[in-house]
Amino acid sequence: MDEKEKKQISRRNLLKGAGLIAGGAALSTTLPPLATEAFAKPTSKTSACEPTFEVYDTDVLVIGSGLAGINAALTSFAEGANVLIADKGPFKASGGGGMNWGIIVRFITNPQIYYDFAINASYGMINQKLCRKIVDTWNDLKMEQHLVNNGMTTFFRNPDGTMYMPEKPKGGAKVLYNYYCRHDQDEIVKKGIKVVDRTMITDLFIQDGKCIGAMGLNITTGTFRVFRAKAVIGCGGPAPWNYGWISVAPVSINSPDNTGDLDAIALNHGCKLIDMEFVENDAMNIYPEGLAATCNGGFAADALEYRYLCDKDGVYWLRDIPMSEMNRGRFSQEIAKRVLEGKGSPNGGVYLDLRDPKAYQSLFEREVYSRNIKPYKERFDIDVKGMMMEVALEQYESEGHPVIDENCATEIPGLYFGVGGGTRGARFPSTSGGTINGAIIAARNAVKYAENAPKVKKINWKPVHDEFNRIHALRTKKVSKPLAPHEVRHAMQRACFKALGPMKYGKAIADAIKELERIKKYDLPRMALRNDTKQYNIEWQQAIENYFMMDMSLANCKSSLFREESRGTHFRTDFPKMDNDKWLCNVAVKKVNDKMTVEKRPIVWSEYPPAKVKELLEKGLK
Amino acid sequence: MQVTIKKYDPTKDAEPYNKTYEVPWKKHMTVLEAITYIHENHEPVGFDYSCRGRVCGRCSMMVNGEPAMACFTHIMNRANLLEPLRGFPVIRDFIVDKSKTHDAMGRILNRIIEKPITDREKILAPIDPALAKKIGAIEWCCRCLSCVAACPVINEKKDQEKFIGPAGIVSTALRYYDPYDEGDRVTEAVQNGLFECIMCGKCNKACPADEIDHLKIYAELRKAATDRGLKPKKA
Repeated sequence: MDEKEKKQISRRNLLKGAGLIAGGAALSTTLPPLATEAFAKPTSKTSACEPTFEVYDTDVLVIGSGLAGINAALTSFAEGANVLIADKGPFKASGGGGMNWGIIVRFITNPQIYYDFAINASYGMINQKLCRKIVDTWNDLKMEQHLVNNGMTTFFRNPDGTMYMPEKPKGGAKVLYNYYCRHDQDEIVKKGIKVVDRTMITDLFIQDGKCIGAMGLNITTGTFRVFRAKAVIGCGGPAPWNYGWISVAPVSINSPDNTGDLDAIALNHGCKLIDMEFVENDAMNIYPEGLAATCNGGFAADALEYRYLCDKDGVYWLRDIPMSEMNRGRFSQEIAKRVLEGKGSPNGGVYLDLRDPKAYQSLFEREVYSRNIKPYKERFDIDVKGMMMEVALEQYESEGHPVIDENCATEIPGLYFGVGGGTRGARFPSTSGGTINGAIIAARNAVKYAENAPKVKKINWKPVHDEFNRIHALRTKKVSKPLAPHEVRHAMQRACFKALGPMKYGKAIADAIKELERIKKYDLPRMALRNDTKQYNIEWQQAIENYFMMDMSLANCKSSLFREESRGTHFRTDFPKMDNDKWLCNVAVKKVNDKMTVEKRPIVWSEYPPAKVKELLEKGLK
Repeated sequence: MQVTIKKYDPTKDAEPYNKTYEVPWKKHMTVLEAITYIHENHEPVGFDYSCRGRVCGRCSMMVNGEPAMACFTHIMNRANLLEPLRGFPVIRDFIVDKSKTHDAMGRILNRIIEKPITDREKILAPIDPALAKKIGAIEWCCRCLSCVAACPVINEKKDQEKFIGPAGIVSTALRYYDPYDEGDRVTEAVQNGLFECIMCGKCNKACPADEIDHLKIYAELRKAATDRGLKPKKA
């Protein structure tokens, strides 16, 4: 299949998926003619109802203003490019970067030790060439200086004013607490980098197989925006928002901004998604429901506090495991196993025993937890001191993304990803470090590409018209027995929750896929808005996102079903052993002709050939 | 429980209007849960949130007349009135445009420094614990602008020219305490209306970051200004 065919197929798929029941024909009469001039110069006979397109032009377009996006934009600026950010959230930042929380960051002290550690932590799944570049970039960056020069102040301190800097047992890096990413946003203001915010990218602009920009919806007023660029850096989040639903959020601290839009768009343009079966978990309080699995609004236990976890009978079943044998993957699995044995809490978790003074004291190791003690008491009359706190495993990150090479380039020329498939594998030891440095590498290569980007001789605006039609059809569509976007979304979230937990079971995943396919076939076409306003219509946004979440959810489930072994956070009760002979490979999802298929893909290696990785995983690091 | 929402879609409504909905109350329910219930069971509402933990600043609004984070505020089992955050242009329902204040804060928060810091040891060195505490407290500001909505000087006197408001002064304070900043932040605070503040403490009450002690910050800046003879004559 050539690029043109591929493009047409993916376009058709999007349209087919959108279920254009009504509106398409009616809208086409109000569209501008299919000519470049229609965008460049307004016609003299502009009528009141004629849609207006805003066209932005830049060297480098960064999509998403989280940790990756901001660093990609700052790097592009430093490299001398004109750069523009399109971001879904308000305030010039969203996702993880839009929350002002005490992020944990590391600076590298020994790149080789850290590199080996990353290969091991990723269970061999990381792209070794890319990992080398990330670790080297990180080492050169001098993380603590990078952040302080972006506005950070003192980091988290001990009561005597010395730096709180616990040594990690594996070494290779030192850890700093409480990096507040809002400073990066001010750096964007300082440099005068334009952020087109509250703008949701709904499609890439692909021409002759190359990425020449993106397009999407200005959520504030409902206008349509087209971004032309010589190079595009995708910095959107994955879709942990698909993992269950409580009352205001899934069982995830992640942001509602993260519905996997960009990854799904790339998939629909022929990119392969890899590592979609891997996620990251923490055990967080799930009561009060409104504060369940909140980002920073509650209390958590992770692989460091496992000694204070007990089951419903008050048994500390993890205490015999030495600290040296505990890691996040095992931590999740041990909790999940206990719940499966019927020893869990009513909501499928376990308990953090804050009656133990040491456990209570451990909350003060992270200010993001200890700062909630007072408001829980004052605002909700909940005294956590002395409490048996119910905690359940939430999914705070999902590792799969469109596959990239060691230059962070995707399979589409001109399209780079700040956090791409292969940067993390089953898990990267530092999410913030991997994200920031991946974005820097992506930006450097995107700027280089932009400088020599092939000239676009003639633009075919049809994809823009089609996309305009698609999203407005979603807004105006009328169907019998309509479903509101949140109803469709909650159905997807329920399906994923049953399949994508820390203990996966083949039959349950297969059932979830069946349910997702039913939702795709019967529910998505019934989705209609209750209010067709163009002004900040969150239902409209959700309706568009639901198509992306559907692709991401199916990719998560299909990859999880395909990998018939257990590795890192991917734990299959029906295949409980790690099987390096069959599965020391990545799992890639692709979508052709609206058909999603899954395949094995050899790991990308340089310093450690597969046999050596196998040895490393089976015998452990020295 | 009855929840009244001040609704407004400027593309359709001539004026904002109040609409009341029945919501089943539950123990420890948050305002955000009540709004989500209305959105999902009654009719669509324009609202925004992200973290559910008072670090993103996106869900601030007026709860029974006082600024609050919807995600982190307990809703009482009584008649409740929810309105958009006071003093900001409304885009729709609870969505307001905070860009004017955010941009002003961003400009203030840019560190004034001659050369980049290139010394790891300097960054990792111990500092005065009292200073570390002051800085660490202000770092928790999530820019929700509840303080600005609470401020009587900003909202009742409408003296935009004279007073930047609590969020701007607190931003100045971060750089005033910042050991790396080389700017004259005291003059900046005075120019931004440090002495226009009436020290009523409403900003401090509204602020979701318990760590930030607004009145102490203003007092320290005022003392520094007074010591340097920068206190305006009228104040």
